[in-house]
Amino acid sequence: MFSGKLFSVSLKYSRNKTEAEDNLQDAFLTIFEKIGQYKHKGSFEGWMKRITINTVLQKYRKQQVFEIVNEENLREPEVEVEEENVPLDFLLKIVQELPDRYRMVFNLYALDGFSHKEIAEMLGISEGTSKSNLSRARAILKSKVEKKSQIKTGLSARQVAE
Amino acid sequence: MSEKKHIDRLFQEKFKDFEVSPGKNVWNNIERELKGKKPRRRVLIPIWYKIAGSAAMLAFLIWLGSSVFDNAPDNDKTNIATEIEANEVENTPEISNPETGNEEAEANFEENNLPESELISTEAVVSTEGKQNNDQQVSKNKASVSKESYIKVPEKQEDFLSGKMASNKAEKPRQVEENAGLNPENNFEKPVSTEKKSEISKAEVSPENVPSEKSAQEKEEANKKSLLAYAEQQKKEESPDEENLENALSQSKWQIQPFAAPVYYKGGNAIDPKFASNPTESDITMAYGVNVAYQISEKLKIRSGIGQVKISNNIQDIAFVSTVEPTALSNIDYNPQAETLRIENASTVFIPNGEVAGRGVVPFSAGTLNHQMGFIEVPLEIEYALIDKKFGLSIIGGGSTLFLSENNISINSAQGTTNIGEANNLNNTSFSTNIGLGLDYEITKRFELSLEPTFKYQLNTFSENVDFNPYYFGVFTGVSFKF
Repeated sequence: MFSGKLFSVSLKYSRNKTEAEDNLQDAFLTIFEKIGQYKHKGSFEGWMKRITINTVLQKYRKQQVFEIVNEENLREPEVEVEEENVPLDFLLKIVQELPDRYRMVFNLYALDGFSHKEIAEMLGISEGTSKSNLSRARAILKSKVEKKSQIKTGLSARQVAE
Repeated sequence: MSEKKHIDRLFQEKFKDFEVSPGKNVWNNIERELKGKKPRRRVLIPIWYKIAGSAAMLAFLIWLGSSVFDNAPDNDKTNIATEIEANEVENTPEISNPETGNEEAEANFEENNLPESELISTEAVVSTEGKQNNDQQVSKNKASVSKESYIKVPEKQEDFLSGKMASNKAEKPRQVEENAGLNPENNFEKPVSTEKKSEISKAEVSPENVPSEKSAQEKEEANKKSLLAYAEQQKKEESPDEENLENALSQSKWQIQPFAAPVYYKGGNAIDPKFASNPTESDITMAYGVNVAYQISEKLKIRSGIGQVKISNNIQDIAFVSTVEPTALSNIDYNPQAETLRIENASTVFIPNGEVAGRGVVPFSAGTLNHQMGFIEVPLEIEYALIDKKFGLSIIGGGSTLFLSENNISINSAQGTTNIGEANNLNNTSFSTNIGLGLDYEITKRFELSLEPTFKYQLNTFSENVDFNPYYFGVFTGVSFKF
């Protein structure tokens, strides 16, 4: 009954459907194993969701991440879209296409509402890194969305090139 | 229409109700993995059954024992025993249980629902012999059987019963007439169990059959309930494994509690009729022991243990003297050295002060007759939690089996203590019914301090009818450790 929601979480955080399925399986096994620890604190669905997220994070954590040294703070960019042109499938795809670290940070911050502090703890990075990863993720997504939407935003060449 | 949007917002809105079902293979893989881990689950549930079974057995035995010794059947115990059975059957989500219950119920249904089953009105069926029995059972059945198990009595059974009656052929057409007007309101309520048939065949019905039948009915009811619960579960969840695991992988359900208790006993004179009017008083003694409790549901715990309780009962206003013509007290087995003692109710004799004046005055001394009784107690109780916070309050009820371990009668006087012997009217095994209140304070998650004032009413301590009912009251203080 929860599998639909949990699988969607897995999809967001994973690179593609196949990996998402593997990650979901692992997440469920962990849930069964740790069910004794649940202890009725908070919602059961929320607890399972958290486990799913952690499972996927752990999986990609072990892999090499291209460390970003630059820590500029870009403000949240605005993007012009034709809503009909950006179906959910497309958005999911471009999220999955993000480099692992950016994808994690973007999902945690923008879609699941974690703070930079929490993200930093969960991923073992600094808050600054989390913020810059987020900006970069947004930039990538924005350019893909705009391209799809076929609307030029008239931004500077520098931002478009990124 | 194009819109400017914060990119986060865009994603959030689109992903708001995002739900995708995974492929079927996902579940197969999970199941495969889980099967590898199954042994652990299996071990926990059989233990559950074993403990529950033995606890129920024990409760039933105690009930049986007390009803054998004490003529009045103890209804509370029966209910507790069958409630335990019913609760356990309901709570375990084990799959095999509802299935067997289902088969059983199905078989019975088929057997009983013959196409031409006749309806029988109560008066026609009941013969003079079995009348009382049926009424009693019918009323019991009405109380305990739910709507689901109304069954029309089949032809077979009806013939069987009518065969018993003194007049046969004459009665039969009358019955057929009565039944011709098929009146649904005349449904004769009978339980599903097949035991009933053979039981009615015997003219006598002893009281023992009734409770076992009742528990069989309750079991059926409980089986049905668990069947429904299982069906609901199947509908609700894709994977029934989740709930099973959650129940089986329990946290700390066991509790061990060493305790000490000051005990106040109220008894009387069981030693000899001549002391019937003597005042008796008991000393406050200490009881010690260890209790073990198991949490069978959120509010219910079942507990047992072992302990030792000593009673010291004094019959006062006694006069005694050493003499060549002793008269034995009725309920004492004398020690050899005490055989020369003559013991009397002080109000019936004259106790001289100081030195004995002359002949003919029997030099009685004053004293008290003290009876020391020691028991090894094995309680079996249920604890129901009323309040379950840091400070807890619960009700405790149940019974104990008492094994006599010490039995000593002696005379206490200014000159000292003389051991006389032992009482010969004490039962080696006896029972008590207990009721008490439990006050707990949770020091840490695993440690708890408890204070349990409990009243224990002894049932058959003395083998002959004595004119008092002994009981004792103790404040059981203990520290319990959960694991």
